[in-house]
Amino acid sequence: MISTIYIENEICDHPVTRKVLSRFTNVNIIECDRYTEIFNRKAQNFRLQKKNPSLILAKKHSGFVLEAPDDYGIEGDNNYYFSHMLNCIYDCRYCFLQGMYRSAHYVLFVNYDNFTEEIGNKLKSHPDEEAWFYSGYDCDSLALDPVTGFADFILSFFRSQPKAHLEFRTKSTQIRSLLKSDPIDNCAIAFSLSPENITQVLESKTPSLFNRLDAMKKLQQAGWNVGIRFEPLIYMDDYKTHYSQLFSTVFDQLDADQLHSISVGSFRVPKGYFKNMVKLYPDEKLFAGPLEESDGMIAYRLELQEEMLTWCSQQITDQAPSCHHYQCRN
Amino acid sequence: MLTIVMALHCEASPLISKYKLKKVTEVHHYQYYQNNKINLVISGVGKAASASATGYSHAINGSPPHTAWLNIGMAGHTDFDIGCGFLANKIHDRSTQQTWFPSIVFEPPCITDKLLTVDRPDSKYQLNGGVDMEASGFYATASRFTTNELVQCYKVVSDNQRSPMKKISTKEATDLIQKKLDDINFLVEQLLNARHALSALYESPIMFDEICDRIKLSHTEQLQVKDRLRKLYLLNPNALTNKAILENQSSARKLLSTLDHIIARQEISFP
Ligand code: SF4
Repeated sequence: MISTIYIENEICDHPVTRKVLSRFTNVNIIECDRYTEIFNRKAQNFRLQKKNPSLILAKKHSGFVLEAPDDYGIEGDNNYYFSHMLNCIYDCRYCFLQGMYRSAHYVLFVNYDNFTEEIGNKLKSHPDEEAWFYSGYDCDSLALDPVTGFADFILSFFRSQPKAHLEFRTKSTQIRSLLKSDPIDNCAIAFSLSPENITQVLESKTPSLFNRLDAMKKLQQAGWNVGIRFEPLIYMDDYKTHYSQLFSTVFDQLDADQLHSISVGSFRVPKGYFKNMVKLYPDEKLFAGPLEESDGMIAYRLELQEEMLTWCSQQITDQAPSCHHYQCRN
Repeated sequence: MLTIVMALHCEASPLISKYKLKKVTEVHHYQYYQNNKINLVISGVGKAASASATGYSHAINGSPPHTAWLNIGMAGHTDFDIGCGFLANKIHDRSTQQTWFPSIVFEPPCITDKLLTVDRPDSKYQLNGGVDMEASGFYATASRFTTNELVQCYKVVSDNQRSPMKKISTKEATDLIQKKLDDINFLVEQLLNARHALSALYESPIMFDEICDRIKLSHTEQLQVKDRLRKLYLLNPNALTNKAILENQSSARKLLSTLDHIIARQEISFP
């Protein structure tokens, strides 16, 4: 429950600010000059803040749309990501955001128009090509959508841009606004799924596997493209048992022929972020696992990564042979 | 430890009684009180006094990490009733124009509001919020020593636009604080709990002291051994009750390699 909202003076009267505020009663409103005064200051503890994060409404000034990291896009060559929010209402222990940011507060950039303007500019730079835009790199795309209304806004832009593809990456079941609008071909909603035990132990505050699958089914039935991200794969000695249970549950419940895409990917975090994560959660078992550093990244030992990726990929191919986009990423 | 910084003894006396704080006679520069969890220092009036008492308290306590800090005192307010307690959610220093945003990570027992720190008593009530003379000095100093979430300022309204500032008697000051002891106690508990949870995370792992008694470790080796012990404890808490691990460990290198082998043999599971 959000009890404090910081607002940059400059956007106090912005229509999105007013709309967001109308969703709350009984919150403390605190004005600030720049969100960085709160979000980037030194001597903050992400773990303590995560108990009661505030919302910060801010204006983003640059870097609206960025090139996606090499392993992020699963489609063509032109892959970009954008983040209308920083941080997430969920609390996955493997999440790199806790190592990247000093603060656990949620930042919402209210100048949505600038995101679509910049996406438009990127499209102009690839006049005859398709381009993919990923939402949900620095947040969960949909988790706070009932408050932000961002999904509706961005969809209305992509509706008129058939060469531009949009992916929402989420664990959320906040799909009401999607179900209310007509599906579009150039948008996919990709759900991250993990075995039940991992969801319970490492994905605090997220919807259960059952509820995520229910949301996915509803979206499929409504005609939306639904994708699955089995990411990050978490190593346990009995990972085959847990992941095979996951795959059978998923492909039992969903129409695999209708799936937009499936991908798998290992747990990988930049070394600097990982160090911060361990400092914050020295009591976390995940970080005591068979991890090692390679090229500035912390990941499972190479042979384990490969074993897991190969085994999971094979299982998926066996159970969803017709799913036309399937990528194995590590 | 939690250190409470208050300007005047008359404000502090209800807390000294409640927490059975004993005067520390070895400290001569300030009136200083203590029990096994709480320190209380009487800083005197004004932000410079508050800042220096805060710094002094930190130093005489051996500058421990993860300390909690609470400034309690009187404030004027534009419209809050006299006797109303509030927690500062934004502190602005009028003369330096600096601003701080205390991070409140618990459900507060009272209203939260902004607080302006002024150098001289101010009866104009121009800011729509509280006015005091200590908070910015206290906050700027205490937040150098610990994480933001463990530093809070709680104020009790002593005057407002309807009943402007007059000289408050020591009894009135004592009464105002006395009536807010429930709020104050809640804050004290919250800060102590948060501090405790945080410092428990960074305690030396089991067996570490015993190892240090047996083997001479450099600073880097200490960190490496701590890291291995932490991992082993997380994977199998029982493994560290087996003292056989320590047998025949003649050097840090040998110990680290033994620990690595034991860690590699542990089962990885997420129940
Ligand atoms: S849902 Fe995604 S963004 Fe949110 S905490 Fe989990 S991993 Fe991080």
